Amino acid sequence: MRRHEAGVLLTMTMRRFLDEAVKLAVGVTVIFRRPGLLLHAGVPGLVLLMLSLAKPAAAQEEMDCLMCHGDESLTTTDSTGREHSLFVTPGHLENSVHAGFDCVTCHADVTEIPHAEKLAPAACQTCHEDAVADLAESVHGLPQIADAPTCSDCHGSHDIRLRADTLSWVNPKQLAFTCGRCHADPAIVKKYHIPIRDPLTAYNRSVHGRLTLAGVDSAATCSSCHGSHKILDANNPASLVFHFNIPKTCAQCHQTVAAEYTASVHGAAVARGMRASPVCTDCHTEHAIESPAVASAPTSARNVAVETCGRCHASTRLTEKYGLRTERVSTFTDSYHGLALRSGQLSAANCGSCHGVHNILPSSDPRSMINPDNLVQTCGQCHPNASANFARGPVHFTEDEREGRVVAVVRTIYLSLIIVLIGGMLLHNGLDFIRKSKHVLRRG
Amino acid sequence: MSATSNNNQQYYLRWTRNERYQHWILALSFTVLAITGFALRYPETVWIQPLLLLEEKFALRGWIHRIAALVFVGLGAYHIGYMFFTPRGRTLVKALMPARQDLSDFFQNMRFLLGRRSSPPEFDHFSYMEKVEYWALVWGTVVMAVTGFLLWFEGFALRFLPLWMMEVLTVVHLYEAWLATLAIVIWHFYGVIFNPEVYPLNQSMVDGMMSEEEMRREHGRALARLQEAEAQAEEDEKEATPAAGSGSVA
Repeated sequence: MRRHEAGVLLTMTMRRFLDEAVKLAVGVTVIFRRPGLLLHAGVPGLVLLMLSLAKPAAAQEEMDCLMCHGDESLTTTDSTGREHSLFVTPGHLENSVHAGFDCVTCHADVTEIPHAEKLAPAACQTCHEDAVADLAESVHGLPQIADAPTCSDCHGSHDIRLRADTLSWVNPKQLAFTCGRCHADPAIVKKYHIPIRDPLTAYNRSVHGRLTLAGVDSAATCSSCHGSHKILDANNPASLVFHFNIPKTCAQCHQTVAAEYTASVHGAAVARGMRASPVCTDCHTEHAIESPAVASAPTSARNVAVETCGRCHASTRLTEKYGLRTERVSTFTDSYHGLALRSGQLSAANCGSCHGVHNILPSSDPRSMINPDNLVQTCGQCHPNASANFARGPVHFTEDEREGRVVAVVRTIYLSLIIVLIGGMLLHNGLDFIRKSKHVLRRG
Repeated sequence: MSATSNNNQQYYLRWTRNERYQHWILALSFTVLAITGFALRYPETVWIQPLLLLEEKFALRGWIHRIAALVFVGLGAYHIGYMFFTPRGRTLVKALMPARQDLSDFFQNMRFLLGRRSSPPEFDHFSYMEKVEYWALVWGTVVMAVTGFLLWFEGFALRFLPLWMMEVLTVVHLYEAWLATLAIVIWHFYGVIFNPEVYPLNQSMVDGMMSEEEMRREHGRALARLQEAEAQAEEDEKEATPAAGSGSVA
């Protein structure tokens, strides 16, 4: 602090000497810098330049500001009592998209030196009117969120680079980490009751995260699904991640799959406003989206029946509510296909092998893979010798069906047989054991 | 039936080398079938995991099961030939046929087991316990082979069976497997291992021989007949008539 005070004193003294000189030099300087300004900032720059010219006293040289802000120990204390550095590196705008701007272009309320102790935030809205308005409408603009991010929290302050620049905070490679600074911070997640605790880790592991980190800029990153400035709560019908908007959001990239889904029984139900019908994220998860080829993915061959389809089709609540047939999943997991999968034989049929994946349709639909006319072909994927009988009769039957009752009778007969026969054997040999043990013991 | 003497004990040949090989091939293929079969039905069982390690790349379990099934069924076919087309086999078939005597043996044995008789009845070459086990094995082999092959060649099976029958076949195959395995453990292992008079092992499946004492205890009636035949043979020898080897099973 002592060094800082000394710095301020020095600055004040120097300022008195330089003040008049600066005022004389302003006009010359502005004209001198004009080409650079035009070159780097284009039209908004020109507007700013004109503004600067209108207020020549404000058009300070970077050097003027650095008299104070060039001091590495210059700090301020915010309302929460935390210290922030006010140090500004000389030439800090060089790599920025704003190169060539003056300090006062953004810090427009600095009209004289020394300036007021508390300055307004940088005036981004002067040029980025839409983005600032969107931000105000977003969850980040909610007044009750004290530490909601401002422009600089996501874009940086002086070192704002173009999105395409891999060092930009909002470059696809960096964005998840930028958002993660708050959204993977347990304190903030807890403070604002954010239900998803660590989307960053999940995303980085996901197929999207791995691709963005590998430099594939077209892979989805936070803003692809949530928007950038106008991020809305998932409950907001205008939100990109509102349940009924998710298929459209994913369709930005996955058009073919989304079209198949929209035509499917699930897509059609969602279009009718059925909240319980799954959208993309219900099967693929949100941040941790993974290829079905990855063993841990909920859509992988080993997991899909129980983890994904089973979440609804094995749920009594949903099967009762919508009159879905019961025991779809248990009849599968206990079948030869289900057992083979459980033992690790991933080539065995899973739900998707017969019902399709995105194109799931009821068997009554002629396009459905399980339509009687298509069954021989569907079964034929694995059973090339499938006859017409493959397609006849119910699959996944329970004791509600006649076939299921036959199976149940056979099972009961066999179980009774086992109980009677094995029970008889136990009794016979138990008695034999007791009797002969006595004999053997007596013989010594 | 030949008999040898050792440690002042008479020993009788109970199983020929051929029969012992049949038994061990049966025991091995049965065990492999049981393990690889139950591994499919109960794939989460911990001790089965090493067998399932390769499943993702190669369905090893299933192929071991099918190969063991071929061995098992092949042995069954050989056994049928052995039992019908060799003199020894035919005598065994005769000895294995259920008889009225078995029923009375059973009731007498039950009286003994319930303490209403001081000694068990004398059994023939095969006691009713052994006969029951043999025919149960024959029954089980037929059931398992028929259901197993229909499930294996599902394309063939479904040419004349409705789809839901596959479920019935699966259920039968599973519960018959349980029945067979439990019968082996509770019935067979008791008879040849855990029976206090036999423990630790009925040696006859190893060397084929059974001692006079064991014969008396387990096959008294057969022993009496053997000894009678021996005495007769000795007498015949004395009469300077060369003894003719008897191919019959006593």
